[in-house]
Amino acid sequence: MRKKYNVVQKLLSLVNTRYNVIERKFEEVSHFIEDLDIIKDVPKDIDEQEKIKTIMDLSTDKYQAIINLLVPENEVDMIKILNASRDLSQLGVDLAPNQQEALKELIDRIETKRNRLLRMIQTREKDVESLNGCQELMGELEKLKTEGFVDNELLERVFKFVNASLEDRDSYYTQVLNFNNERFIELSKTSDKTIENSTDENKEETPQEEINNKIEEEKEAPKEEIKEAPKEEEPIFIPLTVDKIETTNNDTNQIEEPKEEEEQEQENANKINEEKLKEILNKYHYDIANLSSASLEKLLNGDIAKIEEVFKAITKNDLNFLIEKKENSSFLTLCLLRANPELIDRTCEYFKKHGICNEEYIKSYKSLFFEPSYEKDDDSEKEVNRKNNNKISSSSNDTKSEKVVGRGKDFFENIDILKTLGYEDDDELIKNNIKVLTTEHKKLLRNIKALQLYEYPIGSDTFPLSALSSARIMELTDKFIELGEEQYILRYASRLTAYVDGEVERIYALKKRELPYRTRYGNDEKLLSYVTNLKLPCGLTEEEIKKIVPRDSEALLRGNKYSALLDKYLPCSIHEETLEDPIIKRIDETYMVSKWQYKFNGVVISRKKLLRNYEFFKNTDLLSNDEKDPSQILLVSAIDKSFLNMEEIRKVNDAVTEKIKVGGNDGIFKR
Amino acid sequence: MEFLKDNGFTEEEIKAIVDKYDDSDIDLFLFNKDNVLEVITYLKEYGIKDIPRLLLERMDIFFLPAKRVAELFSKYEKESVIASLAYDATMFDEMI
Repeated sequence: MRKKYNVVQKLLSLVNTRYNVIERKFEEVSHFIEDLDIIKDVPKDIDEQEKIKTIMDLSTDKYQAIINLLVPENEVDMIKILNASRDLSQLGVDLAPNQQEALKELIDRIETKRNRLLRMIQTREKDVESLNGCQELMGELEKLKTEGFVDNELLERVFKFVNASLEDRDSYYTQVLNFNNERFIELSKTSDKTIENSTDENKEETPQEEINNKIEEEKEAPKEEIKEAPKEEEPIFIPLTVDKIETTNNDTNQIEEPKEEEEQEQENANKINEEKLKEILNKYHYDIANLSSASLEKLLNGDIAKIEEVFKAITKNDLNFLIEKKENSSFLTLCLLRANPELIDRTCEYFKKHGICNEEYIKSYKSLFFEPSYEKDDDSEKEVNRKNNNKISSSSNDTKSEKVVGRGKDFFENIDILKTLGYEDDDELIKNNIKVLTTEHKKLLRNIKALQLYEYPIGSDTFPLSALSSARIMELTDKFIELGEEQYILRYASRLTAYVDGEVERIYALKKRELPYRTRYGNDEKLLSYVTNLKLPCGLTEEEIKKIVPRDSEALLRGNKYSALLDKYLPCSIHEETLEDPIIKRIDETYMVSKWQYKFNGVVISRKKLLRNYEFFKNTDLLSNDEKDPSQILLVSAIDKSFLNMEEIRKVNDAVTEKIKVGGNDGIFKR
Repeated sequence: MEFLKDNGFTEEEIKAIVDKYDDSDIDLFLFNKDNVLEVITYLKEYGIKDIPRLLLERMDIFFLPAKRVAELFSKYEKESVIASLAYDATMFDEMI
């Protein structure tokens, strides 16, 4: 007798589970629309400058809402810059470069957010549409609880709503049919009894033998007949109240496996998904046996509609190796769950043009199928953290292996920017420069800007493309300049890519001891192998090198606010105004040895380093006017990242301070 | 980065790689782990001795399909490729 309640309860659970899922998605969509509403005032189809102007013209509330939406609270500096930008803009003051940069970053975030929201809304459209039908169905199921009326049409709608596969339907029809028979017998024998009584084990009145026979008969009947059978039955009245459902549910738990309701629901939901998934895999001739249990589990929790979309894109673009080869099952699973079909289309179309739309290149360029993750990455900040904390264990990085890296958008933007630099969009470019082309576009732009500032011959035959994705370009170049090796690094920019920690220190120490560090290699001049291969002995022990290379400036600036700002923002602009600045003019006149170097009382400092740092400090809103003490910022601008001892630092300090005193404070740093 | 240990890299060598490259590079490197492993296998078979150093200096090589690396190497004498890369990993730029 208890089984009948179980059947109805299972149906209700199914609908409830589905309803909750859809309702959650519906709620999400409402949030997405609200978010979209916040950024709608910045139109999509206008250029960057117009967007900046539009943002500046927004009311304070709207401006603040955008910042709240797109800039996390912990990005204090970014918020400060953005707020300052607006204040300055309202006063009619031109924006500083870092403010422009911050606004461009904000615009990037707006576009990323907009695209993401639209995509999310689109994928949920169907669910939203079905929500109304769902509510109606829930109403009828409520009626079922109170009036106890079940008919086949309602059951069909339940099945349709929960996306039950045919196999599930058969299973439920069988159960319902059993229930109908059971109920029929019960009603015919105990028409005056209430269900409440029937829940009592001692008052069990169903003739078990007869029921069992019926069930056996139905089991033997062909499925089609079973499916038809309920239609011939009279509508069944189930005098079931909410209270009784609860009671019977408890009873069910005693009889059946002691599973939690949620687990049961999940099991049912999974079962439905599995059938759907099997259908799709069969449709695309994918052998489910190729999937590991982990992959299968992930797919079962995935979005069935998306999985089908990705399959379509895979077959449309002839990426059959993904389907046919078992070894590609992990990559296929990842694609089915996370890839963007449009990016698959775009990548394949482009690769076909270059004759590389094959397994090797698709796998090497797999990040192109995915969109970037929406975590805010700030490499410069991480770089600083890494330097300050050298305890990045290998295990901590293993967690990253699960991270999906999407560079599809970056790749096409990178190709475009390389074309503007004179590189041809040819097969060789695509085949040989995967790392550069899949570098984050933002980082590539930053690197190009840095390389241009230091006059590297980008686009020339001697300039290696690999250098475009290097880290710490400016810091390394400054160090080579301060070693008097600027021509070497400009000629052999490959070292920017191949640079290893400790290399510059070796050059410094070898030079100091007048030991060789360079040699001819064919037509080239190369650093000796023991300079770049730290495993080789160079004539000096590591201890000796440590003693020779002075680190006082590093010690002096550790934890220094100014130096921390330079690490974070990596300034790389030198504008005409900076060169025309009276203090800089005086420093140039007295200490400039070449466009690369200053010599302050015999101490060589990279001129471009000092100028770009000085410009940043002069324009930043991150320092108050009181903090913009010229002697302070000039000193930090000069000695940051240099190998200097205290005596040399004093010499630099004396030199720059003298120029400030001579000229006085010209009001550049207004208080 | 455990998979590098399985391929003979020491903790120190792995740390040097992690310290040198941006997080975004390391993320991509890990995402392309299968490709990296194919290249490591190829380089070992080819006869490159100090693979950790090559990876430290030229991560970009490990992003290429192993077949492409083989194509590029095939233009030169094997001994010359091995010696050049052992001397200075920047020589790879001259092979492409």
